[in-house]
Amino acid sequence: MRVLKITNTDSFPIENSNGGVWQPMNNTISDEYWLKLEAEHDLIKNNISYEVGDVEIKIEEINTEKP
Amino acid sequence: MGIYSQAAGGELTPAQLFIAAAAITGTTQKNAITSLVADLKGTGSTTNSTDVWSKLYAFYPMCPIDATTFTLAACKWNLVNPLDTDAAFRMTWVNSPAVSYEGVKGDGSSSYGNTNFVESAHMTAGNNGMTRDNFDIPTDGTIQVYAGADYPKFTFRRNNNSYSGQQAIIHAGSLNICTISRLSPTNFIVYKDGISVGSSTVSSSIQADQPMIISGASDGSGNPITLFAVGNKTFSIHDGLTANEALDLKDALTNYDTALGR
Repeated sequence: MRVLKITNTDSFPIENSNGGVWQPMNNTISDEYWLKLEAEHDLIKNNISYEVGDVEIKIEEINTEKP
Repeated sequence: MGIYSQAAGGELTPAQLFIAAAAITGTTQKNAITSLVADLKGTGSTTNSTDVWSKLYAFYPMCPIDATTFTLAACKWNLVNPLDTDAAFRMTWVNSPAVSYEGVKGDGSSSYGNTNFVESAHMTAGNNGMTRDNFDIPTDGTIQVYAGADYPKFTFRRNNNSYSGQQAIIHAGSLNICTISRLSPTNFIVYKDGISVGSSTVSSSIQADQPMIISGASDGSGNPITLFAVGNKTFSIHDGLTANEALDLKDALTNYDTALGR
């Protein structure tokens, strides 16, 4: 999946122009932090560096055992 | 003129407070909210006319602004306490879930809603519940949980043994209103469209200590680790409900969705 890769997450969360916030995820096989491409405008507005690249989302198994 | 009106004495009603906060302008949408509050208070049109309102901690109507306008910002408000603060359980939308007239839908990979509601801080142990009203759910048959908090202590997943079967019933490929209700540690019932479809007497007083999220589930530190591409028309957090109250909540939600035409 083509995403925006974030190397420094110190500035997050930041405001999302459409409402809510942007908070990078690291649920990828490579453990990289990322955001959707539509976050680009807000990253630029907040002077946060990023790279466009591809990641693969890690599928977590839901624990069905009794807590 | 619609049924949207001001309370006697000039004090704003809960519906008016919400409508103002969410900046709802459509007459149909205003009337739907006004009727929803009446139904929840037991003064509208529900089967048993019970007072569900007093058991609510948070109710997210995810109401469109008008017939053609809908925003995430308008969908963040808690009907019970429409203040723009985490303490009022105003939803924080994270990573831009999709918004439409139907409601708000997670993308299954990064977007979700944080209710800012922490069960252990606000509920009594052994007395809890929540109700989801979805417009879209995955059809792969593997997703069992659409609202969760503090993985693995999902509120939808307490005392798992009989729960899996209950969830299979609830999520059997149909869109429906699902309520879980725990009136006591040993009295847990699952309702589908207001009708009991399963129960458990296994004692549980576990409380999640991280904010409850929707369209996803978080780990014990509050980090979202499993996200679901599920659409939410409404979502509510409440104390345990009696059978009559669960049915009335279903009635209120059905009336609300019908009034909105969704």
